[in-house]
Amino acid sequence: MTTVYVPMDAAAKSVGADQVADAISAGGGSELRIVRNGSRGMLWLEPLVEVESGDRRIAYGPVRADEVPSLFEAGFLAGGEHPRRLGPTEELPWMRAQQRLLFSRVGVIDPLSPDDHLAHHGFAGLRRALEMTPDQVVEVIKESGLRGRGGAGFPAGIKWKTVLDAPGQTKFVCCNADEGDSGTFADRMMMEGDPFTLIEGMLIAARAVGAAEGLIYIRSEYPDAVRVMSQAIDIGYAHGWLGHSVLGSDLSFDLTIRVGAGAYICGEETSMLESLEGKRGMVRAKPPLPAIAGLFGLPTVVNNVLTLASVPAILADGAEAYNALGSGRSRGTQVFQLAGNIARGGAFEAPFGITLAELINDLGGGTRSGRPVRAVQVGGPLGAYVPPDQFDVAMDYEAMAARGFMLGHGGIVVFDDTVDMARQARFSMEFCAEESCGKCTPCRIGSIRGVEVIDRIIAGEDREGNLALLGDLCEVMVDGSLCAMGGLTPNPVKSALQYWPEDFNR
Amino acid sequence: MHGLAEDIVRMGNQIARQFAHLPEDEAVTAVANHLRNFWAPQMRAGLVDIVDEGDEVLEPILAEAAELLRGS
Amino acid sequence: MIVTLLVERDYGTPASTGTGLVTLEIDGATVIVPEGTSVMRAAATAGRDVPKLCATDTLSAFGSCRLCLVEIEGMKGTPASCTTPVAQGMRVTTETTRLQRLRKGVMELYISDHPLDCLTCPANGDCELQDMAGVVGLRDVRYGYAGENHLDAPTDHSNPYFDFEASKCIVCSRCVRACEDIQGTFALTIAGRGFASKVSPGVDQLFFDSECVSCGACVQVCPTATLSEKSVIELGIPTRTVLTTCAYCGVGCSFKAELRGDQVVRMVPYKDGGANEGHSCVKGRFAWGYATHRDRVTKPMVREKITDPWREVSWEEAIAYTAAGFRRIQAEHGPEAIGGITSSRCTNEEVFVLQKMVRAAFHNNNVDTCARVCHSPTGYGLKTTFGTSAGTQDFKSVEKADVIVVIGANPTEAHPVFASRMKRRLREGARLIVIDPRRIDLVKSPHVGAAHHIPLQPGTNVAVINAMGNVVVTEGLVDRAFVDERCEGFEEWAEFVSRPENSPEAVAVDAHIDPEELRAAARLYAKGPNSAIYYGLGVTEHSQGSTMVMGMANLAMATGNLGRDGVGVNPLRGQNNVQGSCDMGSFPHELSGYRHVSDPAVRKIFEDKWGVTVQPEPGLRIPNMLSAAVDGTFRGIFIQGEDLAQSDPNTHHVTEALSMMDLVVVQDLFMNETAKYAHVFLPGTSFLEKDGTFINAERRINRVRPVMAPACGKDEWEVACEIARAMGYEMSYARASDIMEEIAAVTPTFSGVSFAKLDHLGSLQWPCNVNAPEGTPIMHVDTFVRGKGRFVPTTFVPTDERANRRYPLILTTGRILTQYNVGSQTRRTDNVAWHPEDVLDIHPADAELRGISTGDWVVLESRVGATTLRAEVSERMPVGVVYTTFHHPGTGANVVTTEFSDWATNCPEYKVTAVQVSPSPMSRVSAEALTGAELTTAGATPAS
Repeated sequence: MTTVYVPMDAAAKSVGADQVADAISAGGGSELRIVRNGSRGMLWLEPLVEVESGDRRIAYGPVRADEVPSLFEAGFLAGGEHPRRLGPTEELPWMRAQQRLLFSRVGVIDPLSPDDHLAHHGFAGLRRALEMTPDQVVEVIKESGLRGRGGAGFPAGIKWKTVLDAPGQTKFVCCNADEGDSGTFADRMMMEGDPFTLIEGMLIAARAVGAAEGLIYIRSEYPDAVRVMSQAIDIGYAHGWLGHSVLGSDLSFDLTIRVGAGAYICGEETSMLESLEGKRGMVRAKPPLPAIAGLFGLPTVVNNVLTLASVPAILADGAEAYNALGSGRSRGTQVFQLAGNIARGGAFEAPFGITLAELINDLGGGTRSGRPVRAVQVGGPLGAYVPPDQFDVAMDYEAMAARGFMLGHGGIVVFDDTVDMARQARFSMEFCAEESCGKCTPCRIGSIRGVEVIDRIIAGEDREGNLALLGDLCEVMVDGSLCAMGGLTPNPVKSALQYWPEDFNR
Repeated sequence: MHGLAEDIVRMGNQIARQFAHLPEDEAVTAVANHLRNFWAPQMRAGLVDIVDEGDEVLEPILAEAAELLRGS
Repeated sequence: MIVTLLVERDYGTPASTGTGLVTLEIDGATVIVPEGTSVMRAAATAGRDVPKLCATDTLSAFGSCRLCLVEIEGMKGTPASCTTPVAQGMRVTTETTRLQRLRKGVMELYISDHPLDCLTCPANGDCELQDMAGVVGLRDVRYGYAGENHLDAPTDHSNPYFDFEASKCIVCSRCVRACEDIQGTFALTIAGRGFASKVSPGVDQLFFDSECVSCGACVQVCPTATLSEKSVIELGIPTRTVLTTCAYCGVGCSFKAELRGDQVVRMVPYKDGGANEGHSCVKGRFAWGYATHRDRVTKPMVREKITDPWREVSWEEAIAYTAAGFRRIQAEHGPEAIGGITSSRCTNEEVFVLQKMVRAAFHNNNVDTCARVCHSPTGYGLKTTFGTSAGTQDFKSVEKADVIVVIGANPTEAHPVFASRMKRRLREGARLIVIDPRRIDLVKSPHVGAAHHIPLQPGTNVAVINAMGNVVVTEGLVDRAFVDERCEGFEEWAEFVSRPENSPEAVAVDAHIDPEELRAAARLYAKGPNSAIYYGLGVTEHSQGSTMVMGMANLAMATGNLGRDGVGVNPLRGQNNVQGSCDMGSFPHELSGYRHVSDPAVRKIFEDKWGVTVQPEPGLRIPNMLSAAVDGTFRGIFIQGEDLAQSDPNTHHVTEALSMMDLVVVQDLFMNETAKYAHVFLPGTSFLEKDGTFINAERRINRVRPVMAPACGKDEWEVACEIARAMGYEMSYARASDIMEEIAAVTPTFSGVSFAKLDHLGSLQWPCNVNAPEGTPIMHVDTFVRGKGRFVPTTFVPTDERANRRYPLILTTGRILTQYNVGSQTRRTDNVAWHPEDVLDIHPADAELRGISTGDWVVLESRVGATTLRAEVSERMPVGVVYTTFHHPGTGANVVTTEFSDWATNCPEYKVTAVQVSPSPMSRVSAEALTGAELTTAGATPAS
């Protein structure tokens, strides 16, 4: 019996993974077992087919369905030579350069196999947590230095402590899986590649704060993630990992999935809570913090997928091990996502502190077009554009912020020298106008006026006056907006103005 | 029968039925008290007249209560 | 009285209910406020108003306009003062150059998408956007006006009372939030997102076609001209305010009548109004135009026979004619041959004077009030059990209730402002039990639902309340401590209700209920911890109305749900002054304050004050007066503001009695059905002309202040005095406050009441005396008024009115939001847009059996009469029960109701009439012609 891994990850499927799996299945006999795993994160190599060979796997990729017969001819089931043969997966430079905690199982296991989860130390973290008091669990998270991966980087332990200490019997754990930033896909890969780890993270959070109910808010654009998570939840209930008396303990936890309806703003935690309550996705003013008055006005943990998925390893291996990684106040690892015009795009997990240059040039291999890199946008559509002379910046929250950049959710979108940065600045305002919830004035009206003012600048109308107006508008949006949507929109605009002023004056 | 006499019979019987669950003497007293408190004298007199004429079907409790109202 | 326009202070966010105090510094000044207060409100109390647009103190903070940004030491950025709570030692700065720049920047954005027609805008002078542009010093909009905008958004004129001018909308969501938080209807939403966000009734509907109930809350909170009263658009901004009280239902909302000269421009609910706290419904807010309707009769009229034409006469002649007529009847037929009926729509002062006219000038006790036909069983039941004839709570108490029981009431239609308060509490998590044959709105509406709905068969209230008592006693849910300490007669009652025949299972068949559901409801009520009963005419208007009131009182006592916030037994009164008209001694057996006429000590108080003998025996009640009229022994009546011929049961009997009398005197605003049988018509005054007091369902005495002189030239109490004088009894008052002085002098529960105190406090709840100088919000706190609360066994005696082969359906009657009672007021306003006619609701199964579809004309027939109206097939109805309203004289729903009544009080059994419904043989066209003709008659100017 030979096991062949063909990813079921949506990115792999989008380049023909299903057809490749079918072709392998059709060509193989009863001695062949196909496992649809998550992606290893090397998206330029998808569909990446792996063949089990002893305690390692031999990678072939990217494989097209019509190349499968030739793989059989080459004896790929025994690791035979083939133009697509890449060698042992773990020895590929991309893999060797990583330090995988979060993604340690992604691409390795069968995502929906309970046995695989257990075989890969699944529930080690939860079992530890169940032996501790809630306070102790919170303390471990605090000591680990884990910060929210949604973008704001708020210390997870402090948030959990607030929920734990908030009065009330009913509390919630909500997972924000509304991954809407451009160039980001780590949450999706996590849910599709290792759903039980996310569930385990939520169980630990529930244990820590005293919640009995959890919800995962997944964007509707992620149908595969919705399917995998749903199946994982069903399997979890069937195995006593969810519901009454989890793993035989006194912890009870019910978990359900809610699917968004295509609004970027619902990635903002208070909008997400409104949406979860069945209302229009509109930002709430803070205070009160969701930790004190969240879902239905009750104390609620709202964490990103990666935050919660980091938790099991922290509990299993201890806060110290986790805290040993990273740089400055950014501890542990982050899954960086390389996208846009890049030769080797994908997900790369490394401790905080890796530089942009390493990520883009060494790992990403520069642009896919082969032209020089002119700008990268880090942290999604609200993140600043970074020019190449700043690529030495370390990827940690504070180091980025010190230069006026934003790490965000770890998405990196690369542009070559054909990009028009004035158009990109305009696009930032346009995106805000399109996706604003419409609640606060600076965002609702400011963004549309921002587009108009930039248009006038581009058209050369009273450039000086309009540049001054744009500056004033940016101040109103930054200082006046209700949430980060309007407050951060000026970031990309201002960075474009700062580093590429010539694009506004053609 | 027309007018007030009809009211007296209908209302009187209805009141009597409300107290029918009580022991008879208590019921009679209760009905009489109710009529004293809430009925105009001409209606109470009208009830006594109706009892005397004997043409109407009255609840026994009401008829007995009417005796207590006689001359009051 | 206030002579200039009253502009209520807006603190931006609601007052905090926090108990602790927080000290902070705002612009260098020390401020001490309750914890939980917003920085905005704290600043306002310190006289530092922070600019704002989306904030108003009737709505919770929203934080969208971003004008109210402040700087707070140690906090990064510029937090919004509306959403930031105060903290101990906080140091706030409300004005810096940075803040000024930001605010100006925000206003610049607003105005870049707003019409620049201030001078011709209806809100000119009353526009917060305009004010804020001024406050921030906006001088230039550098974005220009050529950008994307909403200036072409069409105006929605569909609502009869207000316009929605979308082009002026600043999307502050105040209207949406008011519709949700204050009114609880959820008719409005923000549609679209980003710059396309817009206020939308329903899903792109017009206001009129949406769920909107026209409460006016959205119009009131709108900071711009976007939502404006049509009357303001037409007339302009008002210049003076008179505080007064609405004259529709028993909620008794306080209003600011806003005027220009003597012309009412609009009625705006008053934030300090104890009953409504700034909220209103479509009737009080908008349907006041009847007061100046051309149908108003303003001259006295007289005729010898009811077949003669009316003759306009002077007041002197009308009064002389009336007095002579009454005296002649008494001379020929005895002192008992005349009487009077007081109106629950009139002021306490008018009612008191009229009952005094009867007792002192007529020398009999033949005075009754229209409460006879609505809440007289409340009087009997609550007096017997608790010792006084009134609800136990104030409205605010509902905010503390954990379980709310609504029995035979439909607050969202009939008491809408209280319903909004109740719904808010339900949205906060209180549980609801509805006991009503119909699936009323409260059973299931947006964000409100009943935990239990008991759709009982009409006429089985007492069986059901006994069954609830049975569950409480047999399942050990009695509050023994409360019962032992505060009540008497418990053992006898407990033995009675625990009998097997009173179990839910035993009554299930007759009452058509699910016994398990009823058990669950009883348990929920008993466990509270705070459970409150609210009830309406579905309790009282039955043959056992009084028994049911006592049944509810028993249940409340057994579970200890009395004497504190959040509990109680509360009648929802139908008319504005039902409570007051009863309090004033309008019943034939009681003097003011519910004291029996047979008590010599009580009589002496009045005899000393009035200088006449007061009769020691009860007088006749309305139905008995009418029956005696048929006998020929009762021949003259004075009817104050009540339309007996439309509102009272068995219309044929009523009109027969009226037509047999020698002198029928009607005092009213309009020619009504009763006036067709009158010999003297005396014009009355509308609430906008009255000076006096109304008492609402929570015993709250509210001032009614005149905004214009009486159209007929006389106050109503003056007319009663003049008739009394003409009949030989000297009585006169210089002003309405003198009447209240007399009421206070003779009525212990009112001894501390005066106009001066009311003007000072705003309102107060009786009892008000030396023990409670500022009134009594909650009654029976330590002891019951009668000492111990008295349990009364309530044997179920089924009504004689039963469905049979000939009349197989049961008719029950009620009200609709936009119409009021017999409709003489609301039918003369644009409210007819919503409810142009009464319709008959019928269950689909009953309709199908008879071949009836929605919109069909049907004949509704009982053993006493028949009428024709249109059918509405509705799942709200249970099988076997039909329902209609009685707002339109053309329908004459009371043609079919019968002479049956409550055993103790004669309150008519409106809620149970055996009827048959059949398709009308009349063609649709002729039926429409008939209805149209009758409506025309009702609305015509009287012949003069």
